[in-house]
Amino acid sequence: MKALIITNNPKVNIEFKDKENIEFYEDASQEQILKIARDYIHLGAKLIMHPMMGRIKPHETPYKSVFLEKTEGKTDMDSIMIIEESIAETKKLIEHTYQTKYDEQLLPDLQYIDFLLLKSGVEEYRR
Amino acid sequence: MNLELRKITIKDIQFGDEEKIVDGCLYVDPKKLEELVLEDSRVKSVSFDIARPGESTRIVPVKDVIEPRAKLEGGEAFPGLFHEDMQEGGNGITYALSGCAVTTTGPIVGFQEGVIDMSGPMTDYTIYSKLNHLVIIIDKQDNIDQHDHEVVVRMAGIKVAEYVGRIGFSCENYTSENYEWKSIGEKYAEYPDLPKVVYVYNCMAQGLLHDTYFYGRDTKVLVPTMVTPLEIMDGAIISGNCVSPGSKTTTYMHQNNAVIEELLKVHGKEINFMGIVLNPLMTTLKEKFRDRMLTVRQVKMLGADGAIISQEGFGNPTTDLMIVCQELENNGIKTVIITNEDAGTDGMSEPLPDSVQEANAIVSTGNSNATVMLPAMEKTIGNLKEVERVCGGNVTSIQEDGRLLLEIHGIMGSHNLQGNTYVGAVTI
Repeated sequence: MKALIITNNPKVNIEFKDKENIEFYEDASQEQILKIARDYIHLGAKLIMHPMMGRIKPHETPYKSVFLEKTEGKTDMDSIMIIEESIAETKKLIEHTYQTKYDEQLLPDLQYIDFLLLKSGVEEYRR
Repeated sequence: MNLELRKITIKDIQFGDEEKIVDGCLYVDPKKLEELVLEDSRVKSVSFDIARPGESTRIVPVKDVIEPRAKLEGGEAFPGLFHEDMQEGGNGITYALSGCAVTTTGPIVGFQEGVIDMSGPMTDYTIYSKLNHLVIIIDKQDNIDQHDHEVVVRMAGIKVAEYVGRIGFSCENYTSENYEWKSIGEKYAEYPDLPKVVYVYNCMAQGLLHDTYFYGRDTKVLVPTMVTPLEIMDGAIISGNCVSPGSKTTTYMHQNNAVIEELLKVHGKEINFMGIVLNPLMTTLKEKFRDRMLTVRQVKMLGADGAIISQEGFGNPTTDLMIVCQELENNGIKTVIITNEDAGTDGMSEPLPDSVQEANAIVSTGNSNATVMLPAMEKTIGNLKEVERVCGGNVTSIQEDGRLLLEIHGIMGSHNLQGNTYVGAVTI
């Protein structure tokens, strides 16, 4: 089984490109990243990590990394439910909260937080 | 297990040469505190400030809030943090300086810390506005990365809280609370007719900067574990979290966990409080499902008829909350969950990122996306500009006239998920 990271976070790309199978979409939105992951899930991939972050909300960061197990076959319904709920939640918070502007100086921190969460998941998975 | 909590009410904090408590005023010597914090060579410089309720003062960014405590006998106030050898918390005599807090500030990583105002509308949102704060402002050495920075600030806060707590030893003006915790069998026999209730205590365990420490150990390496309320009250858990301020369980909230407080109040009267299962919130789905299994098993082993789950974090932790609730209900254990909502600025959107039908009893601590306009404050401890980098704030938060527009989850403790807050949802 092959793990796959789908991300729009350049920090994740730099840190993991030599260690893990990765698809990096620099200009993709969070929603687009989630939808790319969803398409893989329909082809049989499974979510390894929950795609929502633990505390930073979708309207507070532009970054998203999804960690999948890239298998082919029967669609995993749990993964489908989770990814669809995550897409809906992401859309909702981006559209229905008052803020979506990011301080450019903050972007490295936001990349770092997304990377840390993913790293934690990769370590749990590889343990 | 027997714990005597000697509470001293602090009404004011002043700097002075002599460390003492006189008529509810806590005197601390900043020079001694400085020496203590500088024992850690990773600290370049440190300063202290005081913020009192009613003052036109804003503290930002706040990392942790800690109630000063020290142990007269029965181990250490924060066991497992400073020495290899440790005694179980929840025994002996502990001094607690209530009405005040040691509060750490300094930006570690963007979007992770919060705001406390000492006057104005924020006082309706957070209990922290009612505390006297001894604020520690730490500047780290240049070569220290964010991980170490978090450790430095976390440990400095705890160290100072313990040191300040010791000042309480010389004060005789305290109220004494006595707690006893018996074995499961004794409790079962004592109140056989009362419904047995277990508390499932969710805590963040999602990698550095998003962690909780149990006897000094990162909960990421724990499986769900049975714990007693007395050890939690007595410093067994501290926060290492840089997560969203509104719902972050600070060390203060672990020490003064509102769910534990209420359960102990009704224990032996309305319910039989059987125990707590500490449930770390992990990132991978496999760990979430494993932790669900182990949590539910332990709740069942404690003989629960009912359970309460308190939450920490948002997003993927909502899944932990929901799957544990579902499994408990499927095992015939009536379950109440405590969570905040993220229902958009107007409150009209779906409030939770995950839900199950079995979650039919929810206590809400409010909509975190609701915005509040806060007046300008005369004094800022920390750096006002950091508001743009805290949760709930952004580059448009600071208004031209100095006011602040903030989502309420930028306010420290605004929708505390153990319910220690003024914010909630009511049926209208």
